[in-house]
Amino acid sequence: MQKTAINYEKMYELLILARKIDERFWQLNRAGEAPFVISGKGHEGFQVALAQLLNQKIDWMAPYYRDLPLVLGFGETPKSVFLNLLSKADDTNSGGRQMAFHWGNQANHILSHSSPVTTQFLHACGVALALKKQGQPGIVVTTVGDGSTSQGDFHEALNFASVFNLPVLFIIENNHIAMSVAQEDQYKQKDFSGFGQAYQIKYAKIDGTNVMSSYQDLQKIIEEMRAEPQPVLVEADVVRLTAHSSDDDGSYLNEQERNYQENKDPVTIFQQELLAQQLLSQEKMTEIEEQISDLIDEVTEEALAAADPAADTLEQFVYEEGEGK
Amino acid sequence: MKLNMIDAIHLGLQEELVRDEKIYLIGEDIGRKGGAFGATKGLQEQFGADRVMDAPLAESGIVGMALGSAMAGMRPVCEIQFADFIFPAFNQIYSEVSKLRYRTNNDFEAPMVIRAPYGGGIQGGLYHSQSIESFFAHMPGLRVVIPSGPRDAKALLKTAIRSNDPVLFLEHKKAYRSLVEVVGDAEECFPIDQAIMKKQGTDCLIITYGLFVSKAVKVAEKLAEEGYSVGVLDLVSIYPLDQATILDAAKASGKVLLLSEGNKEGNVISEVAAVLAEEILFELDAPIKRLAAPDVPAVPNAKTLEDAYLHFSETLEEETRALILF
Repeated sequence: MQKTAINYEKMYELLILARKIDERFWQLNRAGEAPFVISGKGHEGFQVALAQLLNQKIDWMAPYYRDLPLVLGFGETPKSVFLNLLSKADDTNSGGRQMAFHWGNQANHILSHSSPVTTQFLHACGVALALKKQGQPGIVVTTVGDGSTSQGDFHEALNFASVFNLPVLFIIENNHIAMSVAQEDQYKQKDFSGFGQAYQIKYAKIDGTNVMSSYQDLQKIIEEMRAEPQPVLVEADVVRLTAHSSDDDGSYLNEQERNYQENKDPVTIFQQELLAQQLLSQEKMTEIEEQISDLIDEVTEEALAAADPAADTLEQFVYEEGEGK
Repeated sequence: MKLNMIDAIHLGLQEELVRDEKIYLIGEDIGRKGGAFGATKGLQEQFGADRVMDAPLAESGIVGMALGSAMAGMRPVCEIQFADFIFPAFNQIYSEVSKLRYRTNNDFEAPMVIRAPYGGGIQGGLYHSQSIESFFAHMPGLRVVIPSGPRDAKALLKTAIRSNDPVLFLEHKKAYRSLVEVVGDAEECFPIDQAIMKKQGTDCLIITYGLFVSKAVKVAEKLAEEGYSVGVLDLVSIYPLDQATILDAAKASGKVLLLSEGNKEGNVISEVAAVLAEEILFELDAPIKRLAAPDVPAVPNAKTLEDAYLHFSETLEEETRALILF
């Protein structure tokens, strides 16, 4: 496969876009405009890299609620995620029906997901199965948090993908805390390599806070998957730089957990590497940041002014309507 | 062609597999073995292991993976080996399958069927006899369809498979081999959202579904010899209910007896009773009568206990007569 040059600027733009949108979301929540925020802050590093490595024309994605950067890199626009946050009529994910951060957009090859966690792991298997049956290329990426590794669907999905040899890239975004439950109260393994072994699928652990190393690691994995379709389990080590959600204060975190999280901010890490390796200048970074800030101001205004779903649409689309019925 | 219900379902699946390459079957033991009851016997040989897939023993996995494939253009038909085993997939059915169209504002749909044998009277004990339909009759977005005989089974299954909405298709396992009739051709498709008047009657109406439809028709014929006119309405669509047909049929007879094999409290027939009470109470000539199973957890295995569980259905004739004479 031909390797294209790594576009650091594009990745930096996506990283800053996701971060600044996230920060604006919290402001809107505190201002009483957005009922709920659940953040990917600290999870951005590998997501930004992954988005560059996928081909939206052939690949699919079954994300979860901490994947704002990933969906922004996979066709969702700043406007669409603001409309989603505010449950507006033109929200392309659900028309304001789902809580915010519940993605899903067929045109973008992003599967719809619910709130009970890990169900999307099996849906990803299904899409991969469909691609196989239809003789189409492409891989399916699906993500969960570390808490989801205790769910039955997690294990059923890994086993099904293994048995049917499905090209699914399963990613555990391990921020080492499942809402409030500490890692040692969730599982006893050092890492999730044992699951790879148990289900006879490849396993890799990556530093998900580091855009550059994530890019290198994921590029190799995805190239292998394209050359020889197969499931892979990736554990992306990330941090959660916010509370679980806007309805949580994170006060249960101890000092050690708090320090660990705060010292691994993907934005800082990427900025330092870009400057150290002279891949992007400070001036360029500042320019990007300013442009994105302006864009976000503009989009915020547009989204706040957008129409809410009409009350009389409540009963629409329970079943197929119109001719095909 | 005269077939029993399991052979009619087999033929329906076979015809649909021929018709549309997007359709595939998946379930436990449905490939090499051809299914616990033989509904898919020989189909893997005919269509290959890609289209008739043996799945690992995990119901949530079967339904969840099927849903994913449906989101990407396939039309899966899942088999749950016994309805009693469907509960590991409850979350996938309730949270995912039934809500997909609604939650995506019509962007995605789930054209899939989940088949499962249900019902007792075959000494299947607590976990091979259950009537589970009431649990699934509370999920807007999902259809629950139960056929009452071979011809309906084939013609309803085809419509379910061709529907762009998800359908839970429940087959009474005692009906598989006990009922035999002439079935329709490959294009005979019956509506899956309409109740069927199996017999007209003016003195009393029995409303039921599944295996009990044939029982109700026999009772109606017997009572006809006594000069009574008893109608039988087959619900077919357990959810959502075909309220218009139910109300029209009930008005024509003035008296209604509801019959179901599930536990009485919280049964789907109670919803039918509620609809009747709400809409046409003053057009009825007698209180609505419900005949259903006692409120014990499930059908016990010992023949004496199983008979005791199902005893209510043996009282159908006398209860119908009593209602007529009310």
